Amino acid sequence: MKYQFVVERRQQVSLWLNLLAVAAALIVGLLISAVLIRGAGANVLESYKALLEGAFGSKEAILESLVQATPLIFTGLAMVVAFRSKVINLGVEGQFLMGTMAAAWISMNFSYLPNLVLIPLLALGGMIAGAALGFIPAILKARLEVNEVISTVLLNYVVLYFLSYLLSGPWKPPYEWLMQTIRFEESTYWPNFFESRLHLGFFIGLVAAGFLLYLLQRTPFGFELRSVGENPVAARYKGIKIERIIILALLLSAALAGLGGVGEVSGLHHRLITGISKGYGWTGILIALLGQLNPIGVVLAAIFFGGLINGSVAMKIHTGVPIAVVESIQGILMFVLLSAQTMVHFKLRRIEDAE
Amino acid sequence: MKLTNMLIVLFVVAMLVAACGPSEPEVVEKEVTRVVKETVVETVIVEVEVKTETEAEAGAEAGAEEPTELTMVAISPNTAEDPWPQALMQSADRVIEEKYRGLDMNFEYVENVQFPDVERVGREYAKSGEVDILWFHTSYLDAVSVLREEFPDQLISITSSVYDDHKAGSNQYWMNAGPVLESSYLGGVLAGLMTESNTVGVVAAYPVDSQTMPMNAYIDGVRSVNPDAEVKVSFIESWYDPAKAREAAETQINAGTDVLFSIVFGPFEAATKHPGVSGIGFLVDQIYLAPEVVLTSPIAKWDPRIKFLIDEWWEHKVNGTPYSSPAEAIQFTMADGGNEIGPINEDLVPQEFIDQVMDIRQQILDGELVVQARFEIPESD
Amino acid sequence: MQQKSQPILQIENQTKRFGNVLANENISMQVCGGEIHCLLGENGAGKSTLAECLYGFYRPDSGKYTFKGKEFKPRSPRDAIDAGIGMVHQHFVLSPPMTVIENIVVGTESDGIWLDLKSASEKVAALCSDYDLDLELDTIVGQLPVGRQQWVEILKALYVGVDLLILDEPTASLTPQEVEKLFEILQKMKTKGLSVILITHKLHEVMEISDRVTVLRKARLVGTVNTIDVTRETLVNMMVGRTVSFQVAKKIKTPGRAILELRDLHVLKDNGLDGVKDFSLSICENEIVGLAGVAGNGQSELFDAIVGVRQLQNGQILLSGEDISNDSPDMVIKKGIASIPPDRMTQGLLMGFPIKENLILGRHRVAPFKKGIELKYRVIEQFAEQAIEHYEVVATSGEQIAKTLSGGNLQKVILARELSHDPRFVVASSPTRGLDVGAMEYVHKRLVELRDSGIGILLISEDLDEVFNVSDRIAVIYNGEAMGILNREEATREGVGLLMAGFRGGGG
Repeated sequence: MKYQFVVERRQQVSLWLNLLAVAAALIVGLLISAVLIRGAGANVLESYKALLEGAFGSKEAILESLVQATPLIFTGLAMVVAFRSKVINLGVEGQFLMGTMAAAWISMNFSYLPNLVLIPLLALGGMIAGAALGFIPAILKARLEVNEVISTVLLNYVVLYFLSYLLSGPWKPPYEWLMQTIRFEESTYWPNFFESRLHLGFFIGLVAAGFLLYLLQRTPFGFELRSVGENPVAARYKGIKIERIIILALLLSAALAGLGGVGEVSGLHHRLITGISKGYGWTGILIALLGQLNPIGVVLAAIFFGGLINGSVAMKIHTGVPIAVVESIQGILMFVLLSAQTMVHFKLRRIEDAE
Repeated sequence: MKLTNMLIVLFVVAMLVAACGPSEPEVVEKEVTRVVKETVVETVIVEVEVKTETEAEAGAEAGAEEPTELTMVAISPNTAEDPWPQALMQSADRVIEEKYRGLDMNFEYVENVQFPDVERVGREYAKSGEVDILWFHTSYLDAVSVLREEFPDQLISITSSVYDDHKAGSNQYWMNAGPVLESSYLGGVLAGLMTESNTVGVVAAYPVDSQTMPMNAYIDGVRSVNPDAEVKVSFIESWYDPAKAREAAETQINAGTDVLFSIVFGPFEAATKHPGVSGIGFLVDQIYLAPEVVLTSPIAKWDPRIKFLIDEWWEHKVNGTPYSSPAEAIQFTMADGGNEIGPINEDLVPQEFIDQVMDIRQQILDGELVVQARFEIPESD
Repeated sequence: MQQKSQPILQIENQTKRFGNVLANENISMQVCGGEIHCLLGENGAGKSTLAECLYGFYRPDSGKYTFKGKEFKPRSPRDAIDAGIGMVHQHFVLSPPMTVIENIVVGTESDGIWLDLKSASEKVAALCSDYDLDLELDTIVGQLPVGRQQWVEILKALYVGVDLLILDEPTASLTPQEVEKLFEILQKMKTKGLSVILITHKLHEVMEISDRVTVLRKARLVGTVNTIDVTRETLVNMMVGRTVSFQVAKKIKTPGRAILELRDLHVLKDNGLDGVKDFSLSICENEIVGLAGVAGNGQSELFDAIVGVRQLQNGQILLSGEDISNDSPDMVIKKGIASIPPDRMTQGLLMGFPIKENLILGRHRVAPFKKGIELKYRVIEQFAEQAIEHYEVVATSGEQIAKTLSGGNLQKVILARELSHDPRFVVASSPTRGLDVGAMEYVHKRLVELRDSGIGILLISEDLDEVFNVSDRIAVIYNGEAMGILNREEATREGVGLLMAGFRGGGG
């Protein structure tokens, strides 16, 4: 009796299956990475031990991993809003930078205000700045049906060049030869916690995730946003004002990205420099997908990825695995996890061949 | 759905609580002191352990307390292929080769470290206790100012100037970033001799000290042999942008320039397209890049600076002398081995010009000629 | 007399599953040479699956085919065509910008890369005259009416010389006249000794054309019978497993005041051409007006205009005398117009969402579903439970995702949503398209109940049976224009058919 297999789509995927898929993906990813580590001449088990300890092995490591996770939470949430409403906001990177610029501008001009006033002012300023950038593609899409994928991507470059301009002239202190602002005054700092670099931004990120979850799942606006993402035609027939939702979704997405930018300036670096974002906006896409477009999932995915970033330095230092391999491992793990999430929607079934 | 979400939230909260413990505002003061103390104590213990190890090893081999190994790590945003890290790595290789003070030196260049990662990466290296000299790129002063306090027994070196209230000192050593004064002057001499159009050019990145100093030296060198020569100056306003650099070079060539001093990457590509135009490299011997164009290159030699740091570390390690960096940049002249004119391309340069350049070099080494460091921003004639 | 010829095709014990869903279970049947064999069954009974396995589109999990005396194991449609089995799908697989002859020839010339259009044209022209088809071979296919596009599909199969042609719901989008012509073609094929499998759920077609009928119900074989031995009622019994009444019991009601008035509507299509022109119609309380017409004659534009998603260029829409022209869709909903869209999956439902959320779409901003700034999911869940029970939706709970429901159940979800809130007027477009007989009966019953309770209904449908079954008056739309309005009593199928084809002066 011969057998053959057919691939079929699952209608619904249970939580257990999801967890199983994640576990399986991690094992596969670690096995593939093991080959690379062996190839680089390092001990596989030691490398993974270093990775794990570097990520979550001590209080300091955990806190630092959370620091790494913070900007990704915001950009991940921004992408969740975008994906859920199918308004593909690829301008998160630029909106994030707008947030950093707003924080820098407020920090340079209003440092005389008390810290307690500046903390919310910075947050608000970053959100407005991010949203302002999001408004351009939003209005273009809603009114003129300009594809937001293109407009948002292009605006990233505009922002990047604008930032370069500010940092090479107007915002650069005269004696400075690097493209960066002055170090801001302490009145503009967001508080740090646990004697570490962990700052207010992380907790705002958690609150934002909770807020977004509530908004999406429990409010009419969230329902409309999801409906437009699911099926804009049906949404329109049932009285939802698509243009309004598109604009609001992009504004919300962009504001979250901008808020993330504020965290990096006011919570962590306390100055603005061209390389302040390591492509957080782009990583946010992966984080959102890895978090299954669920705000809580995004927080977990960001912490996982933050740990991966943090732990991989330890792995490199303690085992001598080259940085290129370390970065490949990050890529491999992301890839297998995302693949597993797609594959979990399908199953193999054995059928009897007629012969 | 609801239950799952709640479980996940609970998990995150639990993890945070477990990681950080409760924080009550009233006892913050106390906790802080305790934590700081703990850190200090820990560091001391680590240090002691390291010492015992070294002692044991050293004792077994030579019966002395002198260290035999040294690890130096340089952290930088530049890829290893850039001229700047190339110069640093070549210098380190020479020191390793020399077995300075009998040490087996490990040198590691960590490339492509982005700004947001510097503090974390630097801390991880300092924490590991395995790095004796930690060298940071010029733009990493923020991280250095934090790590220097956090790891007082870690020798840290940075090739940067000073800002605000922060100055080099204690365990933070300041290496000047542009150590190619005299050799740039010699490059200028050669350019002044070689030019037929009587117009020479410089393509640089930014009008900052590390660039204006070699530029001015070059211009002085040109003028010393060719007082009427015209000098063209371009800043491309980027540390790395070959396309822009090429454009700037094209513009200069069109304006009559026939010798280009390339402080950034890119101009040689333009020069190869115009017969009769030659160039001068920077920091490392760049003749290999375009043998039909490049005449010579002023070379940065970090060797004496590395040795200076090794001496400081040795003193600290063996005699327990506290680190105390001078507040000013540590400079080494060409006579001290701090820079050198690279090989001169004999296929392009007549012997008499080579001899003339070498004569002037000797005068500088002998102290007969002193090249002045000038930092004003040069302008095109 | 049908048993005289040898079976050309034999299917033995075919089983096919999709995931946990059993599509065909142990089905065996025979098709004879030179017969028209109907495959009858409700939606989801497994007719199409059976045919698509045979055509090599799917591979059955188990079972055996014997075709022309040899075992036959198609691995792709190419295998099926090579063996002599052709298929005309419900949605044509033609290339609209290419000519008729190109469409017929492309993909059939297996040797070489050059098309020998000339000899092919001669062969096709011969086929056309054989089958009495009046078709210009150089016409661009996209410019042909639907009925003629179908001819092209059939010619494609005849051109490669199939012995067995499968047609999947071929009459779904044809006018009565076009259906007649199609049946003529099929009869000719039969006389030439070709076999036809006709997949359908329309009983009068079965009775009219077939020699034998194989009935499927819920993935299983019910049986194969000779058509002359059975009546419509027997077939329905076999199909549904119970007796179904075709005529919806209707009380005589006197229409009340006009509830919705359409005055000189002018609406554009997406491409800027006229969709609806000078269209006037009024629908009264206690009345169902059926709007018949061949698909694509302005029905969807009219529907869109009424529900507010398409701008009026001209004209007026009045609801109980109030001008609602160009009101936004949410205003239209608020004012009490319920709508059943022609394409339920794209226009009516959020297929990835649970039933409960589909049930409040459009009413998610009003009490009791919304309170304060929150959606009240407890209320919504209760409502979903009631709706599922009341509208007999086959679902485990309101949490079930819409896309896991069958077509009939999806339609019930829409009905539940649209009709649960005391609408003043209902516009229903093809509300039973793709539904099985049972579900269709249910929908018609609901519509008549609503009409009896005083509501006015505009029923836009391409299915003449439906229009004749439930309407009080019948209007016809052709090319965006109203062709006339008839009382149900005075209308005949032929007359309405002529109006649908654009001949004024048809009708009663």
